[in-house]
Amino acid sequence: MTRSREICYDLDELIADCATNKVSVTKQAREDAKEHYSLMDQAQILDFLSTGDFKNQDLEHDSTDELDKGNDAGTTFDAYTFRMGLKKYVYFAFYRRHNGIWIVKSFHPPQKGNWTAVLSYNPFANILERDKL
Amino acid sequence: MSATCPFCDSDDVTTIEVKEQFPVPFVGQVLVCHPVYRCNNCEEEGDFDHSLDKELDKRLDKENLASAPKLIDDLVRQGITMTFFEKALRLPFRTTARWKRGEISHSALALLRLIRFSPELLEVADENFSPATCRDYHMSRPMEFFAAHTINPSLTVSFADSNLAVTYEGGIQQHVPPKNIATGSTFPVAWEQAR
Repeated sequence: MTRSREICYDLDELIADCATNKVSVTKQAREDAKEHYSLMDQAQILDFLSTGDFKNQDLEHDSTDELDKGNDAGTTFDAYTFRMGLKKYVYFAFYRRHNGIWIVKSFHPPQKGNWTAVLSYNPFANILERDKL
Repeated sequence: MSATCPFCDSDDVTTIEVKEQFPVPFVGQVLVCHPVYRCNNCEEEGDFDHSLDKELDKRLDKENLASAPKLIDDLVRQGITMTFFEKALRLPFRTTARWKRGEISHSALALLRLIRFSPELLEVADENFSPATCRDYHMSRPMEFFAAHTINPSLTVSFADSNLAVTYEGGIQQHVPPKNIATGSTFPVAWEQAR
């Protein structure tokens, strides 16, 4: 994804709407948030976003593009990365539907860019692997 | 209750029961059966009208808070009395008895989990987080990691020309019973010298 487009949405509007039931999270994003960040359901994800704390955690605009499939194909989405805690990073993408409802479509570890290595590097992986036996 | 799908605006939405596993620290996965909306048009699933997750979160809270007695029992099995626990953390005595009866807050549970994760923190707290105790605590973490996960672990400490060097070493090729690591380790001697 290139950074060829300007940010489309006002992040503060999304944050404010997280507290007013105007934001929904896709099943895939929910499952990723649960697996990687221990946010167990949509309510917990929205509670987390509604604090706005992530804006102060190395927030960077990743990309802005158009959805290429699904009901909302052609709709513009914004994607960001931010830090959660000390080491983890989050790739977070969302868009606003024609009816004003926000959709969080992605909430998972970055799959490319500067923060990917931080997530995958574990010098003791081989040793710890033995504990799983 | 009917809901509209927020992802495609369809009214063809049904409520289904799903069985889902949720992690509870030091307990494992707990299986929770809970309702979710399912859109028969776009096949998305979730809490479309923000009414279902509140109940789910209550159940998850209950499951998590119910883990407190097990955490306390784990600590007692490791030789930690609850009187020492309370003394070290400057808590009113018999606080943990209330926790064990289920009268525990989320913040207390968080504290209990941290101590269950690293009971040695109690020693640090009991010493008022003194710099020397904190240093010992941090230095002993890698030592215990090597003792638990490597064969014939050793610790080498050298001090020369104003340079302090600490080296942890251990083999990882084959399994050695933990008791061999404990009795054959050179850690204690080197560690005492390092201190």
